[in-house]
Amino acid sequence: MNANEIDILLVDDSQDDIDLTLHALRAERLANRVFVAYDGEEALDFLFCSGPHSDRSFDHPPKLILLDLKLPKVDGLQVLKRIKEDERTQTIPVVLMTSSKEERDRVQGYALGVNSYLQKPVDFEEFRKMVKLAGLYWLVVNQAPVVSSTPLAAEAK
Amino acid sequence: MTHAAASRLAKAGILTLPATGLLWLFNKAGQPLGGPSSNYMPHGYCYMWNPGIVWLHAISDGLIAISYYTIPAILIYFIRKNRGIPFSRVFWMFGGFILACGTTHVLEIWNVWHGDYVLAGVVKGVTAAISVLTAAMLIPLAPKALSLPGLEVVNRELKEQVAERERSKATTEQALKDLADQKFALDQHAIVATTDVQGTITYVNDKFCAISKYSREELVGANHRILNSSHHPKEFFHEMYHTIANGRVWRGDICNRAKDGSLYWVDTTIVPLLTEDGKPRQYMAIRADITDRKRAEEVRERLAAIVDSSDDAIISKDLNGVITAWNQGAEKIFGYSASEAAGKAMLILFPPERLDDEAGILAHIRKGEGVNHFETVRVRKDGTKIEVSVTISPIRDSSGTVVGASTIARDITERKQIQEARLLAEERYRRFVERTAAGVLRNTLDGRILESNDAMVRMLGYDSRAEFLSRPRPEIHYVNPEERQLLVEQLKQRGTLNDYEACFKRRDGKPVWVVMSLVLVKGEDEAGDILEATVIDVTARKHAEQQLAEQAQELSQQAEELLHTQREIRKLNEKLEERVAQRTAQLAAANQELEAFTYSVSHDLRAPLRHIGGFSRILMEDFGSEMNPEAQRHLQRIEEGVRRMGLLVDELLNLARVGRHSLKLQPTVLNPVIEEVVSLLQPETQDRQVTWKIAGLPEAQCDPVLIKQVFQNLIANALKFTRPRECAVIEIDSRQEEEKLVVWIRDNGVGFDMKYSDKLFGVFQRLHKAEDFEGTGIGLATVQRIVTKHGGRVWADSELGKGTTFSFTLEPAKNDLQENALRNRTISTGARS
Repeated sequence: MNANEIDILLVDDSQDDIDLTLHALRAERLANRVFVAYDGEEALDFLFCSGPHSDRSFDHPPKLILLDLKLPKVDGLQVLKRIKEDERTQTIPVVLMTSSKEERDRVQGYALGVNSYLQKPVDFEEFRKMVKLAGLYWLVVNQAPVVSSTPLAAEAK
Repeated sequence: MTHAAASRLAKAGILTLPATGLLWLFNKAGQPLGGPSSNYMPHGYCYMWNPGIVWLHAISDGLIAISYYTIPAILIYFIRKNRGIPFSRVFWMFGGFILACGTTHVLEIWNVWHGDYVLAGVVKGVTAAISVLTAAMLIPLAPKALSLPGLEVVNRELKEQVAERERSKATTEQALKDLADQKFALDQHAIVATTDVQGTITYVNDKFCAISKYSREELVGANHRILNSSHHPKEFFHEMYHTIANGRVWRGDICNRAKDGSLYWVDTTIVPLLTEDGKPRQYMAIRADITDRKRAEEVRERLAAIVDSSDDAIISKDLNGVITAWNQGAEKIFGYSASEAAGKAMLILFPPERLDDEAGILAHIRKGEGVNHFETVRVRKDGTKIEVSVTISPIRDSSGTVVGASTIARDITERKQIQEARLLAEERYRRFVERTAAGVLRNTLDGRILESNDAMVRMLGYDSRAEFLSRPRPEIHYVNPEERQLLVEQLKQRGTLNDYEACFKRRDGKPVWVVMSLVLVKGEDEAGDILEATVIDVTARKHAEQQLAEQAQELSQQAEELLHTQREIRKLNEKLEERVAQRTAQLAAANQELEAFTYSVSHDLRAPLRHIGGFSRILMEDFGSEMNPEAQRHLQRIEEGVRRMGLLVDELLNLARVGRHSLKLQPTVLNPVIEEVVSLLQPETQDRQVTWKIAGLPEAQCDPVLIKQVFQNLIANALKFTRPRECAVIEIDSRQEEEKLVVWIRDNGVGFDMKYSDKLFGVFQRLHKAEDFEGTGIGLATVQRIVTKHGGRVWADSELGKGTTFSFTLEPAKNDLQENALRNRTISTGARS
């Protein structure tokens, strides 16, 4: 998989959740260009082309980030904060997907500039429906900023 | 003599003629000037202007005229000088007649040259008239004139007069001698002076010089004013001069100043001596020295003034008791004015009960005895009684006979009052001293006790004051006999001693502890310096102090123990606090754990459920066709379990969240909340017949988020248990019950047996089989927790098969919107499906 041609960055530490999410995405033919980061640190490395991803180019940022809240190493909200603080990444839509029904998480998420907050339902049918909706919406329905990759590409040179 | 010669003569000598008119007539020496003044021929022509004849006539007439003019002048002089002449009027007439005759002769001369015969005639006529009148007057006088004595008679009379004169001369001489004698006598007796009308002294006698201390030379020629003493006002002298200047005698007392400046008084009579025409010629002043009398008068006046101005009443009365004199003091004291009192009986001043006194007083006086300073009561004019001190003395005349009495009365009402007040005050202080609990002592420095009060006597254990005072030696009262001397020495040095502590010995030998205040009083008593002491028995206090000291000892021990205990308690407290802090920390930790647990339930428990459900579904979808029906059924059971578990977890989270949720009370309109819940439950009512009867509810004071949960759980319950009914009826309404709002939700569901109602709100408590009605047993527990958190209560009324009513109480909204609520009651009672 070419890391430079990624549509979705999926950040989750649970292989089960990852599999279920990918299963749901696959049904909608959205799972081909998905990069999975298993913790916050890896997600940030990937996004900012550092650490193991230093050879990656800024030219192709993901078009959507699906972010779990509870993550090892760097917490989901921390990751969100870094993304929204940085000019290069703040235009990327971030969807928080979590099992938590905690209101404070939701409030904090929106305060940090999250684009969408989704609670993962227990029921798989509903889960699948939700993932499909989110994927379609952000990748197909929603109009992204015109040349979202330009500032990153310019900076890389 | 020629005309010219006559003229010359005239020029030379006739100028003395009395008629002035003649002067110019003779300017042309005998020729008439400017011709004759009339048409008649001058007489000269009759004389042929023969100078001899002319001048003979002229001179003769002139001499006659002069003579005639002289006679009346002499006559008038004679008459004026000799007033005694009778028939003066005839003399006047005679004078006038001669004067007229003279004038006719003058005109004779005039007519020699002029011929004014008309004038001459007129003059002659006048002369004739006077002559006739004079003659006429003389005729009746003739008999009178005849009666005048004849010359012999006159001679005889003259001789008699001479003799008389001789006699009278002798008499006069005698009179003059008498006068001189009288004058001498007068000079011996009186002070005599004469002045002229200007007041210049013309004569003074020796007495005048003696009293005025001026010499005669100094006085005579000086003005009488040098004696003026300025004592009298100007008007006094004006009146005097006015009197004497008008010829009247003036009499009065004059104060004069002698040469040495001393004043002397003279009783003065001034006699104006008059001229014949009644004008004062000179003044004669005859005086008597009354200086002594004046002085005596002054003294008397001063004495009278003293009497009058005295504050004491000074009254004199006669022997009948009738008031004869009354001074201002008497007016003030008794209220009667002098005029009111004079002539009245002295008895007006006596009170009725003392009227008899006066007779006794008068009897004393008649005997020549007085009454001194006797205090009695008198009555004022206004009837008030006053205390007076009276001194009555007899008054004697010059012969020593008692003629009356003087009464001097002094108002002593005030003095009496002061005296009484003083006595009262003394009595009060005596009582005070006698009654005080402290002992009081007065004794001499050598220890003789002069006075003491009963408290002192009792303190030292004596039966009576007399016994106490009779004890000769003061030392015996001291436990330590030398102490008294020490005390006296200290007192001599300092004058006073306060809070001096000593130990007395009672009569029975027991000690008495005392505290004394002592004063050394010098020179007030004939017994010498005096020691005054106030003595307080402090024996009881001493005992108490001892006891206190012991108690204090005890107390301090107890305090020590207490302190020890306290320290232990403090230690315990500290430990306790430590433990409380520990517990609190544990509790906080537990709380945190609980929160963490809730969080992980929400997050971590749901994730595996989702995985199980998810993979079962994938298994079913992807590999269902390869499995036998048995395996498929198992997979379905797994999915069903996952779903139930999911519900359970969600509701548990809800319950936990209610516990942690902080109550945000606010006035809440309930109907919109209910409507929202009903629409949320829409999936449940699909394909069902449900009749909603939702009344307009009043506003409640509650947390809208939590109350929504209550409605959600209860309405969901109602829907659930009405599922068997063909037509579900769900009513929601409220009522007011004792200031609480009761909201109730009624359904026509399956109901339950009320004997299980106590289990209704317990967690995981279920009254129905899960096969009949799904549920977790947490929903009602959550409802109860929320209502309880609002301070309300929740209960259910149910009948098996008929339906259930859940009721809960809420606080009505604080802002009174009840009216709004009532207005809203009409909404939405219709059926919805």
